[in-house]
Amino acid sequence: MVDKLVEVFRSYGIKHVLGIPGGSIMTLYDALYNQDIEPVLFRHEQGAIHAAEGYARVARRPAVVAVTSGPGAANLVTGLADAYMDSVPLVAITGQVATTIFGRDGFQETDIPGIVTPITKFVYQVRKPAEATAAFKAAYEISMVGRPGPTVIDLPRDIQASPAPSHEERIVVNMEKFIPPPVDEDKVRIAVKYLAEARRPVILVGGGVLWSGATPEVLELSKMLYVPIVSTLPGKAAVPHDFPLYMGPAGMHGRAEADAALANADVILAVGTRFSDRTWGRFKELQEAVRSGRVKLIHIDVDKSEIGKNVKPTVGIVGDAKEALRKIINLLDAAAVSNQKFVAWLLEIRKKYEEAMSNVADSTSGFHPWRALKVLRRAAPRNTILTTGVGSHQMWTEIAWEVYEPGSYITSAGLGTMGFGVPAALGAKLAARDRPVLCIDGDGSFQMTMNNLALVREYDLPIVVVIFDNRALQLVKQWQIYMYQRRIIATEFSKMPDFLKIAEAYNIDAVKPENYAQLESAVARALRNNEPLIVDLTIDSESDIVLPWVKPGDWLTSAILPEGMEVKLTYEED
Amino acid sequence: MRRISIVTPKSLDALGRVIAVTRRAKVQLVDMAVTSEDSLYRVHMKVEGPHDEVQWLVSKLDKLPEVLKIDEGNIDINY
Ligand SMILES: Cc1ncc(C[n+]2csc(CCOP(=O)(O)OP(=O)(O)O)c2C)c(N)n1
Ligand SMILES: [Mg+2]
Repeated sequence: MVDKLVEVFRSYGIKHVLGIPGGSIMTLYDALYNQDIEPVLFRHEQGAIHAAEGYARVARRPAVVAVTSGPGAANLVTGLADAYMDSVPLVAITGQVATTIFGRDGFQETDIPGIVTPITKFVYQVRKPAEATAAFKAAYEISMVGRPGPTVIDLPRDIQASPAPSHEERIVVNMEKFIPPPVDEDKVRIAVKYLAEARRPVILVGGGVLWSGATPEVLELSKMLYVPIVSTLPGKAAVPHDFPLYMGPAGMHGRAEADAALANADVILAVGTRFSDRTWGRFKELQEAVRSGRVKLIHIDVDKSEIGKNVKPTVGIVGDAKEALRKIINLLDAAAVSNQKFVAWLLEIRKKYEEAMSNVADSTSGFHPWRALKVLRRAAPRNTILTTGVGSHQMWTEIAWEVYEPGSYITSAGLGTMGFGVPAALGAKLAARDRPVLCIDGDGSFQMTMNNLALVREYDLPIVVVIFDNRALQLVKQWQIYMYQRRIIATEFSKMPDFLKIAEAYNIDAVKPENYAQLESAVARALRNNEPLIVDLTIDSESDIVLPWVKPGDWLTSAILPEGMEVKLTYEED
Repeated sequence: MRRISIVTPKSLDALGRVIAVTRRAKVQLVDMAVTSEDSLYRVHMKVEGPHDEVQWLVSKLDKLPEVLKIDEGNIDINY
């Protein structure tokens, strides 16, 4: 029946299958022999699934992964959890031992449905040949409908090898519930009223805005009312950073002006966000302010389980972000509010932060991550797709990397998975070969999945990787410095591999720049010429402290700010 | 005490998913019964806990594609 499955792949326009074969998935791979669907062979299944995440976010449709049973399938677990947290659509097909030996602890038998149950939107173990194509179709469609997410089809080897069935058996699921309901007009009217009466309204943009394609509506609403926009970390990808009213991402390592905007708003329009503790630090202040009526919270989300999960809104609107925002715009009187003073105050905070950081970077010997990102932004064309690892370097990109095109910033936000950057960059490049792809990685993160660099030459995927090489698991070290009285343990590398030699081993050019000019020209040249490059950027660990920082469990206004930045994040109205 | 009634396909995988969600809820599962009917399972739960937590559970369960129907109500009805 695998030929039928390949036909279904083709009918969905699937061009690539990412993964690694093995005994229990060989029949499916065999069906791809001499077909127009290309298997893309990774060096570790974790690489394949993070690449699928990058691919899906760029292509804006589900990516397909195929791996063998047991270890192959188990190696997908981190990526599935990552995709589930960040709402990324993909379908993983895992091989499985033959149905006849289920439960007998056969070679490479693992209960994958049992393992991935809590980290997938849908999982189905095929037990009859006639279910296989229907199960794949259900998995593909479920992964994309409503709030996206990863799905898994577990496909036993005897089923793969069985003759094509004459009929297709229905997979019983309730798909309708994922289709966004029509937006409740009465609630929209209340939201409009609050927005019109607001003195310090703020729009909080989450990753849902990107999937809904609601960026134009967000910008239009912001312009109409002169409302500052703040985002979550995934929402950062949804807003062009040269839009003058975008204050950046708020939260643990967000921008000070964004933290200030959220903490001082009297009306918050939160769109496509799940109220993560990483964005808010803690919820107490917000919950109390909303309960007392001091803050009106309007929450729009396509997933109704998100409304009220962490913070009960004043108005909760279940529906598609684009449609809901369009309705709000249509009902709004454009002349409603325009709080120039509040926005000017926020922009003043931004200016002070930039000045303070510039001074910090000036007084740092060698490269400072904040300035390196400014230089790299200049070197990279506007449509460059950025991926990141996880750690301080990632937090620096949250603060300092400017996104111009929606969807061009790809990071592991909810799960915070080190090792995400390189494979995600490969997947992004596979989905958009005509776009420059840059990965900002940490030396720790890079070492987790660098084996997948083999694909750069094998599939001609010229990505540029800049390793922020601080010889440390810096973000954890920063926590040790501030929260564990500088008791530094297990966060510093004493012996490092030579990254230039690693690059050489994979036949990729590499540089270790000595100054910003060398960094800029090397990266600009590689991206312009569509050539792969690895940059080993030496960063002094002692001065690599990411600020602002809202410590876990603190409220936004207690953000620790960089040296020389004397501002209060509490607004005083005169 | 609240009642949660669920209909799923007659599949232990689906039932396993329902239980996986339920075990993460901050409610006490006082009682649970599964009956079967043609190709369906009917899951009947009695749960005790704060209103918000019961709502959390119901809305998380309702995210499963295998949950074909779910409703929640007072304990005296229909159980
Ligand atoms: C797979 C995984 N293991 C452990 C962690 C915990 N962790 C968070 S950040 C971090 C340090 C990352 O080091 P590196 O990639 O070098 O980035 P840096 O912070 O130094 O910029 C660690 C260990 C994680 N997020 N993911
Ligand atoms: Mg590091």
